[in-house]
Amino acid sequence: MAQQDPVTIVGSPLDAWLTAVMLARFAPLAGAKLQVLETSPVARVDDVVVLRPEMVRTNVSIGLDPKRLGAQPVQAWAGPHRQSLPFNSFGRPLKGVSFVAIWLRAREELGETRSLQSFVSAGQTGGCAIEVGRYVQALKTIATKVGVTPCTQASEHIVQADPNLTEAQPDCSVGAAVMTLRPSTTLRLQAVHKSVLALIDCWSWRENDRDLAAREYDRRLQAMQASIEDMQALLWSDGRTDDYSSRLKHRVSVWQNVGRIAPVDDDQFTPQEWMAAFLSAELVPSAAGRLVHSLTLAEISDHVETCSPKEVANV
Amino acid sequence: MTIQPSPLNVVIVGGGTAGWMAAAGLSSLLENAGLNITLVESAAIGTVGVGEATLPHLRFFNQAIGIDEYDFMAATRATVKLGIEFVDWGKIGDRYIHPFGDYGIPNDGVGFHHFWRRFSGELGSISQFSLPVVAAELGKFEPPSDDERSALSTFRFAYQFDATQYAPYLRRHAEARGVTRLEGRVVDVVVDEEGDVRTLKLEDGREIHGDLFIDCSGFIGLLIEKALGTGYEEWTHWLPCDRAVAAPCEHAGELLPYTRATAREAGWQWRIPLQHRTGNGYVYSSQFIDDQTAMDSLVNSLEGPLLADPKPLRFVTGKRRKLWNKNCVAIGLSGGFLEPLESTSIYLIQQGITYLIEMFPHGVSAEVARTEYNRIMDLEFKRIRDFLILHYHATERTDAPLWDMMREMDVPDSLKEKMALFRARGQVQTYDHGLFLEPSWLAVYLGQRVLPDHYDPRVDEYPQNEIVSRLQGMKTHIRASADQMMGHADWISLHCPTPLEGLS
Repeated sequence: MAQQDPVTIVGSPLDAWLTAVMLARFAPLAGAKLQVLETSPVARVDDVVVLRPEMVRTNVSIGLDPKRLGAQPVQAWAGPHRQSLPFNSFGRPLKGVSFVAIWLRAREELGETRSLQSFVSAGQTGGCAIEVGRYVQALKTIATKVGVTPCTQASEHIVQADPNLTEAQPDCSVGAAVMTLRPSTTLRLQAVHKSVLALIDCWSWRENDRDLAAREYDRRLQAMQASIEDMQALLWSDGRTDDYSSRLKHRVSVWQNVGRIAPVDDDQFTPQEWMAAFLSAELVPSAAGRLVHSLTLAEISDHVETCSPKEVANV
Repeated sequence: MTIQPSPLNVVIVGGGTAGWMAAAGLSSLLENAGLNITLVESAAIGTVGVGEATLPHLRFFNQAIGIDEYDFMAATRATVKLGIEFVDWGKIGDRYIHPFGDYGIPNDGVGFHHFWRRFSGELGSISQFSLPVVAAELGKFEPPSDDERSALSTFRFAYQFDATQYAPYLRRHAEARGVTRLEGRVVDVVVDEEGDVRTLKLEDGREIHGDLFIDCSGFIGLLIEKALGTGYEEWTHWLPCDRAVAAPCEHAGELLPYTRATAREAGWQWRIPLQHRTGNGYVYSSQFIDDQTAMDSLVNSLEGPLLADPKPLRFVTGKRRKLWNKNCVAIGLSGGFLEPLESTSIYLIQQGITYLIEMFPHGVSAEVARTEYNRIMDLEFKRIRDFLILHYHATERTDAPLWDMMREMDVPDSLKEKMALFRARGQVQTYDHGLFLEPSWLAVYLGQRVLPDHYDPRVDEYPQNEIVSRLQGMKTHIRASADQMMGHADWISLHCPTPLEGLS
């Protein structure tokens, strides 16, 4: 988009203003002006949205510190069935053995009854919860400072952040316009945030690299989409596995058989979020692996106690 | 195959670097986990002694299994490696160091190399913004700092060591942790009706039964291939070097903290300075040079008197179709071989052991662990493969048929896209898992004349004088940090000299 014509970002207030401010702050716009065309809101102004730690960092670097808007620190975000997906890790490893393996063996052989969730490490995660109305207003204020305006003129260049605009022919799509998202403002914002970061990296500033940049953007979006869709399938499935992708099925079987989160590129969630999601779907590893058997039961008992809930804050 | 809880009989075949690393790793990290580990090796069968030069990851393996770094370095006559110097690759006369560390620091999400591309005229070589490169060129070394604010935290280091000493060193470590070593030659492998390896028959009539077998028998793949017929995925059309000849010689000159890889007519030549000698070798393609000419070429180019007869090697670049097949895991050369250009052989051994330990089942079916292990190792091999191909393909050399072929060859699509993206936009396509991250790709791209057509236009948003002044300051600081380090040879003498009686 190496043009001086304005670029119009079309989307709900939350999606569009976040996209606009991030682009204005970080994308190589080569002088192009940004304007926002708001569509219907997807969240009420008094709804509360959770910003993941990496989103908070991005917000701070665009000049928006959520703490100053009264955002409350949080240690987790919630799934549709009140699943708690923590930003901090579960317990601590011991002698190279993961805490989850230690917890599993403690359950099997020591009768440990506390949930893995109750061992979430204490301390600030950097994540926070903020009211949608305040957040959008702050984004608009910053947008004004960086030269983004409400839409005032027709434009041939469109960044689409709203999935419901079928008539538009966008130059590119971000967030909910890229994938089918379940009704979760947190996931929706995460999709906007990550896709806009990819768009910034792949922003084309010359005619002759446009196809290449678009392919790279698509490659990154596909990986992001796969990760978010897998998480959605897990959280919204109510125990049905029909909607699981082959990749998710593989990750489930690795978790159940090996007690490990299979690593994939461009994963949008941390291992502890996957573990929490698996456990909330009642997918528990059948064995802790052999490595944990290098520890004695006394070591395991002691270690579980040192990571016990009385030392940590509530999720 | 279900892996029984315990006791579980693990049998390792082969006592080279891979075999003893596996034995030491399993016996240290799975101590008390119900394993009976037996290693079968024959003194009559030589070992390759793979990988005189290593990657920084080996330090973590040694630490994890409880090895004292200085003791290890003294025993293996090790020196420090801060990177690899590539000579004559992009063009004859070119040279650059691929360092174990970063170039500069990014600014507001814009990679350092974009700033360098914009102001390279004022700033000079990008290598001057890499502390390990500057230190290497000065022959200096000090261990990295843990303080993230310090320039000394921007690099890592590896070892250049006598690989033939590593296996015996690990053997002592493993035997002290209960590994049983059997001297003997495997003459037959018994496979049961389910296709699992069950028994090894030795030349003297002994039979070794096992539940899980680790094939470290080298290129031959005694279990994984000869017994199980797993199959091999060849990559010789992309990496055509298929032979090497190795020859140690006496030192001449300063003890350098880096390995050198010099491109030659039909391949490339390594130079690895150890405490007591210099390791040398010529890796070549038999399509373009015969064995005798290659050997003569190597011997005639040595910096000092030859210390042993040149040792020839043959290999086929590629990997087994499955590194874990049935109840057999192939680790080391039996699993595959990517030529030694970036010192990845020991890294792949280490990853094979680490993943095996992490996924080692206990009382459940191994099928899922096996699938996941193969998926991850496949990724490791393929990402290294693409990076190695880049070295050959990114050349302007026209002096020899090998280089013409490599320059013109059709590379894997995955690499093609990466190179196009960098050329057009200076963008490095990165990944989360696997070896060689952005600084490594940058080193080879820029060192071999793959220059971006354009820099990121956000660079122009910064005041030019201020940026140039800041980057000049960074360069000065890096140089000063390197200057303050100890000489590499002095550091070795102070911390980990090989005792005189250990030198030969």
